[in-house]
Amino acid sequence: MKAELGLLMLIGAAFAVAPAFGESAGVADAIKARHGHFHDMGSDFKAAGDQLKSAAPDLNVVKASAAKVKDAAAQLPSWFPPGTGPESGLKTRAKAEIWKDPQGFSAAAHSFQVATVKLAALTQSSTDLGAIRAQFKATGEACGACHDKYRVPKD
Amino acid sequence: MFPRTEAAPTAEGDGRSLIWDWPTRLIHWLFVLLIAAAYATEKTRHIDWHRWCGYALLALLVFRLYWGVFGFSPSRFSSFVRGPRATLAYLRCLPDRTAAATPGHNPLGALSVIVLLALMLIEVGLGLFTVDVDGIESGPLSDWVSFDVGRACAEAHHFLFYVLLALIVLHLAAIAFYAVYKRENLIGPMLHGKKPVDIAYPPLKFALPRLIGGVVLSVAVTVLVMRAFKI
Repeated sequence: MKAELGLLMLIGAAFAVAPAFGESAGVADAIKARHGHFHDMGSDFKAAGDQLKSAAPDLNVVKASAAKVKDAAAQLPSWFPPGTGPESGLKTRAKAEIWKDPQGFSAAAHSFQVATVKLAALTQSSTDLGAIRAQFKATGEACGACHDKYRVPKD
Repeated sequence: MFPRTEAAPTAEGDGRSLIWDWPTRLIHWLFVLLIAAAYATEKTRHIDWHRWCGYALLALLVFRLYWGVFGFSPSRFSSFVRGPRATLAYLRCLPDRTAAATPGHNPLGALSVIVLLALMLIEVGLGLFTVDVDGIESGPLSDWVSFDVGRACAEAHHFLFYVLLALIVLHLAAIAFYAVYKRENLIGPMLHGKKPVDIAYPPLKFALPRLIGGVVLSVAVTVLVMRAFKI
């Protein structure tokens, strides 16, 4: 009787754990995809920044990069499905605060989105280098504002 | 301008002669300050100040290389860089509890100087191409490379700092070893420049024009790098 109960519990436990195993593959993929998205956003940001650093920037490059950053930013909140934080045990710099403080995280993501929309719009409509450079800087600061709170600093 | 360099060593009257002239000493202590400042500004994410530390270090490195060719003789590479045979011979007498016969750098110390200078040059060089993980902050030459290469430079820049730190620890350990085991004070000469040695180095000729030339060269190189060679 005791043995049977033990076996039943074992089977029950196996069923309870099984979905978690199935999920962990999804979690790993989600984290990997997130890193890919941020990598691409960094690359686009650099492409725009490289131009804006120079005396005679190619504004078409800036415009294209700003549009890509804006599109990516719109998707950004969806890159953080529940379970993809530090509790996953996988390599991620995402802090648990993202899910503990969803309103704060949404607000930070939103202000970043607003900044990227402004930057993209400005590069479409204007060739005023001073204004574009200022908005580029503001967008970078909006990235940083979120990272300060919701990303683990590098050692 | 050059009281120490121009003073005849025998004129000191205390049996000590000048081995480290003030430009060499000043550069040495500025290296100490700037490496500490570069570390602190990076850790506190004052990346603008960190870049300035890098530029200052670059200018000092250029000057030190120049001074290693045109400067006061004990600071010249030709006066202290030795071959493997001399270095091995020196290594063999390292356990002797007597002060080194070489007035300036001994062959092992020379090796340490070369490695430290080379590492600092590579470290500063990598910083020029470094891109941060978000593609926001970057070195002045980062637009020459892709985001991924810039990131690889950042990783190497990060790693190499700890290699440099390890060598600095070794440098300090060597100074302690000479002080305790060999009873030779190496810190004093790096402060006041003088060492109780028999040899008297000839004063540097045209010291002021040489100094000005070096300053102009190092500032020019640094400004060019800062502006990515676009004038």
